[in-house]
Amino acid sequence: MLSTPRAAEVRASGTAAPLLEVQGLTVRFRTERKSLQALTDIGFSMAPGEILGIVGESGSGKTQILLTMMGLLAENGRAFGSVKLHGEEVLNLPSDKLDRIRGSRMTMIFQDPMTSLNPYMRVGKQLTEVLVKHRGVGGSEAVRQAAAMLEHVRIPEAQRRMGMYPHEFSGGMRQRAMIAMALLCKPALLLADEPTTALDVTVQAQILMLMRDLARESGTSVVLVTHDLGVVADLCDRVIVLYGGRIMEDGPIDDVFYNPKHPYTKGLLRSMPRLDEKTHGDLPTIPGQPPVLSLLSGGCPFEARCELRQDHCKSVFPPLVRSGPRRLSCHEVSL
Amino acid sequence: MNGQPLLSVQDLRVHFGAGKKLFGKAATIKAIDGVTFDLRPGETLGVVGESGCGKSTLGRAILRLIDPTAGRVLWLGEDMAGLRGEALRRERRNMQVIFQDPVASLDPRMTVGQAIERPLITFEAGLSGEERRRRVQEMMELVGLPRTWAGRYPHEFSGGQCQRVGIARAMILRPKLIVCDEPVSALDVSIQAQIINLLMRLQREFGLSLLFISHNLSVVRHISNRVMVLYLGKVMEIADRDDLYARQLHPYTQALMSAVPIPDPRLERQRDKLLLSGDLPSPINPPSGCRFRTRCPIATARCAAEEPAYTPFGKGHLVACHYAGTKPGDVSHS
Amino acid sequence: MTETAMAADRDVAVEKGVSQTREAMGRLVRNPAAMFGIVVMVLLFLACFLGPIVFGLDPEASDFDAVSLPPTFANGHWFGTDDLGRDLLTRTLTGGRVSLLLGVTATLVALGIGVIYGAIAGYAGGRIDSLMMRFVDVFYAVPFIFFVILLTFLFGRSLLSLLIAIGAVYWLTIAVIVRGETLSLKRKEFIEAAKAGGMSAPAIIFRHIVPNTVAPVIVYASMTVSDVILGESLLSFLGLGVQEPNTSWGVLIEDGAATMESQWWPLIFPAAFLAATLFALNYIADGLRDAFDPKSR
Repeated sequence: MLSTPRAAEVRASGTAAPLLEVQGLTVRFRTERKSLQALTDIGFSMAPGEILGIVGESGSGKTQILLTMMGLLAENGRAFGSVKLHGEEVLNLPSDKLDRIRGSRMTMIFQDPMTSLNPYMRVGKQLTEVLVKHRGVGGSEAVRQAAAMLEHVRIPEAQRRMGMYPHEFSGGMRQRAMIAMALLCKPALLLADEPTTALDVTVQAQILMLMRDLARESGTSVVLVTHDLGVVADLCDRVIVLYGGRIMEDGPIDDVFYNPKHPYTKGLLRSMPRLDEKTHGDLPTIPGQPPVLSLLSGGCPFEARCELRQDHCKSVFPPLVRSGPRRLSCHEVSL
Repeated sequence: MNGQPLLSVQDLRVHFGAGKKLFGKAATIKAIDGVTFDLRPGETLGVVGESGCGKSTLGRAILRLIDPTAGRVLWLGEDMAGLRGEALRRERRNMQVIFQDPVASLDPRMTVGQAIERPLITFEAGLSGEERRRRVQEMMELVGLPRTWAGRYPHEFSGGQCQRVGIARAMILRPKLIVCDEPVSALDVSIQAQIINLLMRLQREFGLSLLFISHNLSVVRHISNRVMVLYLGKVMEIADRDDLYARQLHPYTQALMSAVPIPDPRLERQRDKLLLSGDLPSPINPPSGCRFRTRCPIATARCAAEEPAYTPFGKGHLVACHYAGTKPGDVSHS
Repeated sequence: MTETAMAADRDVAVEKGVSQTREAMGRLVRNPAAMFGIVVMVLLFLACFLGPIVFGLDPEASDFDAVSLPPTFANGHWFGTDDLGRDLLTRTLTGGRVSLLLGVTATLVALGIGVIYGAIAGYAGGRIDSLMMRFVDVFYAVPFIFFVILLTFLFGRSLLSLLIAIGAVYWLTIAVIVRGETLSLKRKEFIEAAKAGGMSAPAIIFRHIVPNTVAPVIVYASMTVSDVILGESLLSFLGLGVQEPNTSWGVLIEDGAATMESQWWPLIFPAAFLAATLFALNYIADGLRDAFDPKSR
């Protein structure tokens, strides 16, 4: 069976309880005139030290998964189902209980570091705040740990930079600072929402390498949400492909990339121009547009654009079928 | 096809004042600082680079949406600097633009039909409303939009559809050149391929030249005939597409290529990424000599003292580096 | 399958799109307070403009047998009479004509001047913009009352000079608002696209800039109407506004205030009408602001 060396290592560590277990996660939003379902029946689990990629385009709901887990769902959103971290339910926890978990056991980094770092507070202070709040560490010890973490994320002249403001950092450095903040309390789980999308490609390469090294070294599990299949191929052990708020397929990275089963995954991989391609004719495309969530019926959200579609695809949602480490949701294809 | 290039850019410079200081010299941002290239009819030139390289400024300067500070832009042999006001406006029908944010590039208060029609009203005032309508519908079908949607508003369309509208609007006067400023970067991956195919088809059918500005090297590889790499307002390397992707001679190009992720897990695990050190220098105060030297793995004292000139390396392949092609272990992407 | 075929398939071939203005109007209609305001305004307009005609009432008809009567249902003088025996209901309604008409036309004049001025200043930028805005600053410094006095001195005391005076004051803020909107619109990509598309500056201003300032302008205009009515009332109260034989709510209020101690009815009714108008306009203005607010899209 195809798999990365690292994924094999992770499985071999054979921990009894998964670090993270998501079951039946459904998220609904209510707008002034309609109600739409951003996520339907999402379920997956993660082992410690694993890097999971969640891939999707507009309307896939990928960011909502992270926001829901962190309790950052918008006012008009409702989440149903279960999210268990170390066996403990964290979904819909009241904020005082949730505050003890997020920022320390489960942390998140965002796409735009400029808006997620407080522009009016020195970077050092933002880091020490985390330590004071979650670890009860204060004063010079907090400063020492914070500076050490900045060095750890390969920010040069870390000590000096503690006293600077976010706008004095470059994009890549801000992202590193955010990663530092997220890792200060040695979380078990790091959620990353398009962390390198806003960065230049050379900076992206550095950040991805940093994330991989840090995750490996500290055993932190990472959920990486992105639209970029190249980033997933670079960093992840497993990948979940999302469309219209549902899981289309998932599995170990090599399996899904070299033997994609779902027509959407296949279409996506075929239609992407690659850096190393040789032919330059028409790209095979997936016809149509990304889904409009409010217009989806109960069937497969990909149905309208699918080359294999049949009548029943529109009305009946294909159940997620498991075979070994892979899962697939499609009427017309089997694993 | 005669030998004369459609567009010839010579030592173009675009500098912006960055605020006046009470004492001392006013700071200037040298967004474009000496760019030279030719574009032939029917050719696509890919312009790549990261933030601060000036590629967007280049596009706008060529279209005269910004005025160049120095250098020449020759359009069909004529110096465009001489064109002003009315004469410049009239020349615009031959060079159009497509933007990165397809929805923002359309007036939210106009229907898409009106948006596509507008260049006809501007330049072909003699046409009847009926004739204009016919041409708009013809254009919509050409870009793959149902003609019945002409009465709709931009916010009712998806990003990809809005981009088609933008392309229809740019194409309606049959221009010779279209400057594409990151035309697919804001679109979903599954839609990017549709738009790329459309652009390539239109280019073939109408003999268009495209100045394709993008940070996405994979897309640029697919669509371009020639590729130019910019860094901090200067050209690092320019070559025919296949030559550049097979063998990069400039250390920046090498690093850029090696950094692009490829959706191929095994390949990714094997690849060596050439990582650049340091940060992008300030465009107000670029490094002396070669601008790239502060992050370059093979920079020497000579690089600080002397700015490298364009050196030819085989047909049409120009590199601005003292040590071009001499680094062992060129990363090949063939 | 091609895009075109798929669209036909999906039966979404609707000819008419829904513009953002239409959507905003839809939101307005669903706002009860705003609709109430609109209904009240419509009733006021109908009453003031058609009422006297339909019922054949004459504001100048003096009945010296019915001088200074309090409101009585029986004799038809529902609002009472003034000291010349004139029916106050009639005078309130006909006075309303002047107030409302002045409110609307002065606002339209102010809009006409302000929008164009602001759009040109904002789009031109640089020195022209500075110059134009300095001119506005100077105008702002001139006190309203002084300006009115000056105009009545030049043009005599007529509705026209009143209209000019009011219009001349209220266009200033509209110009400032529109200039601000223009400055931010100027940077948007569809304006760049228009420039690249060879449109001349006047064409861009009229076809792209001005239509996109509709939202803030409409909201401000609705607030301006009530300001103008109030402004006119103030002027008339000071004796600078509407003159005999015309009357307006301001004049009526002035008259009523003079006899306030002994007779309550000459003051109360025109004041109530004025207040009702201002409330209604306020609800409408709030409703318009909510309707155009992008957050609710």
